[in-house]
Amino acid sequence: MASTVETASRGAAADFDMLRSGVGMGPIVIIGRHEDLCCQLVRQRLTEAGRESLFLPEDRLFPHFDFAWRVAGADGCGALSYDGRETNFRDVGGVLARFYSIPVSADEFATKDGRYISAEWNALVMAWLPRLRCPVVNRLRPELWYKSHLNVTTLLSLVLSIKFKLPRVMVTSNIEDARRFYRSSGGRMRYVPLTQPSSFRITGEESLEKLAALSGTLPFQLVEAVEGVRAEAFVVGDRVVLAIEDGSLNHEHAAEVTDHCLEVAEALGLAFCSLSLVRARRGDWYCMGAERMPQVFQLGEEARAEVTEGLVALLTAGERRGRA
Amino acid sequence: MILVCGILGDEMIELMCARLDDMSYDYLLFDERHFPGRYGLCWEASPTGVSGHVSAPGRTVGLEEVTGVYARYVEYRDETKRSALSPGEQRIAEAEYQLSVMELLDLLPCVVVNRPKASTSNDSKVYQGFLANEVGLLTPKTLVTTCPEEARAFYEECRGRVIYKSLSGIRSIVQRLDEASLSRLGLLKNCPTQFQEYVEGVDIRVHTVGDEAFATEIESEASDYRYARRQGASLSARAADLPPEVGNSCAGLAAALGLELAGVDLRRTPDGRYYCFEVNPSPGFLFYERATAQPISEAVARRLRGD
Repeated sequence: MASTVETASRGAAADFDMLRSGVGMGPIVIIGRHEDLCCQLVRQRLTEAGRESLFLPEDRLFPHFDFAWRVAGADGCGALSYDGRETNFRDVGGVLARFYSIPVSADEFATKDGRYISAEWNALVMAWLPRLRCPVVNRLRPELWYKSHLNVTTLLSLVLSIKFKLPRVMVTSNIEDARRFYRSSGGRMRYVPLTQPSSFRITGEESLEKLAALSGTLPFQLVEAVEGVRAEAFVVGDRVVLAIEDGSLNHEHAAEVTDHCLEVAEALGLAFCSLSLVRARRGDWYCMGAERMPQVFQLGEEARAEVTEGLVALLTAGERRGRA
Repeated sequence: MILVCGILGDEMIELMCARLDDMSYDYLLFDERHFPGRYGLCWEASPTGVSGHVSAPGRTVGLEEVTGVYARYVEYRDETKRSALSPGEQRIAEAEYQLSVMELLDLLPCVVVNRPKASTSNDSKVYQGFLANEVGLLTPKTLVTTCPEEARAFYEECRGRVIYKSLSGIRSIVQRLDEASLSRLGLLKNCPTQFQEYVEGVDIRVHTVGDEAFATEIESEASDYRYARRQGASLSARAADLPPEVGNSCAGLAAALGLELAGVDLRRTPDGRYYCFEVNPSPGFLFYERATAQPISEAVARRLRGD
């Protein structure tokens, strides 16, 4: 990687100034997985727009990934290279970060070495992305490093003021508390594991008995079930793309829904995220959770295109600012 | 009421319980070794706050009574607890129970030493280094790389005075880069590694408790004093005075990370500059308190009671 050495010899401070100005005209770096539809769509759209991209497949990085980052105080410079393509950090036009911090196979991750490599890769990328001055989708604050799905309690701990209504949530180790919560929720309750992105509707005595069978084996996170129309709101920069249950777009949502979504995204520090919403029968909008790395496969064509356009606009914002 | 969360087999939990006893502060030990079972919890969260209780043998405490929580997140295995489960299921069950406590600690409005969400930055030492810079502490010249030729160039640029260590929170022994390790640089292609210019000087561990700072000077020939005894090197510790601005920077760094208690690793160079290497969000300060008689656990206890 001759360019790294060359960069370093020019002095970190000068490079840092260039990074600060956000005029990287080089590739948009995409860190993700081949099977990720969002990565595929953004790459395709960038190609159509004549914009260069550099894809870093997280699960096939090592030993083909050359990375050198010199840090001196608050300044830094360096270069990366993959698959014979190389770029200086200062030239990176933008970064779409859709990685899981696991650059090894599942079998390798089961080993001590695999977990060590994953921890080191995570430590690198979580420190590096915030230092880049080009657009990065998303820069993650540490609280979100290991949280892809943000449940209601996580949202409450990270977002001081949520204007959406929130469902009631109880966490208990005692099945009698769970029964009490079920009764006080009018029989509308879901059991939601704390560590899994799944949930189970509790519909009566029979399912309460099934829940009781887990007592002493698992704690119970219980969430009020909210009846109504489900929607997924994708925040992409300052746009909100609202898709209803069948994946089609809802063009007529209230402006206040857009504002509330943008406020949540801003409080989380996310340029791209999705919020699971329910419009209850009385017209109130509930937020049931959020994703900091939303998936787009369930969206219809029109909604996918809007999200993709929004992402490309975000990622190339530095270039447009530079030209201006 | 102070809540102490952890397992009694952890010496820091023992120390804090003993200190709270000694100071006659009311506390409840939530022994996670017996959760679920003899200990239990129930909490509800809403935009107006969190309510609920924790229960222990013979005692139930409302969360509104809790003025502070001291928590240690220690991995432990208790195969007898859920013997009907497969190892994979046991891991999920343990994670579920751990998260049921951690999510509560992230939500409680009282002092929590320390909140799980404030502890995450420990998993990237380079990230912490930038924060240290922002509060006015120096950090060593650093290279993070997967390229053997870059590591060698850095080694030469630093005239052979280079150490290497992990980037993440996984503990690694800090090692000097020498001729023997240079021959293994090819392995870098498989895993990024952090190299730093060696900073000569005296190690200082600073424990911050809120805006108080307790400094301990370490004397050892080992390049990583934590492993001095294992390496047959000497180790001694004594209380030290810090320049006020350095103490303030350490407290400021802990505050920036959201840590009520932190262990900040510094090195003072012969010409009096202070370099920061990392911040430990769950410092085991027993060794330092024993060696120097500094009242660290007392300061933590006072903070937990809201004094």
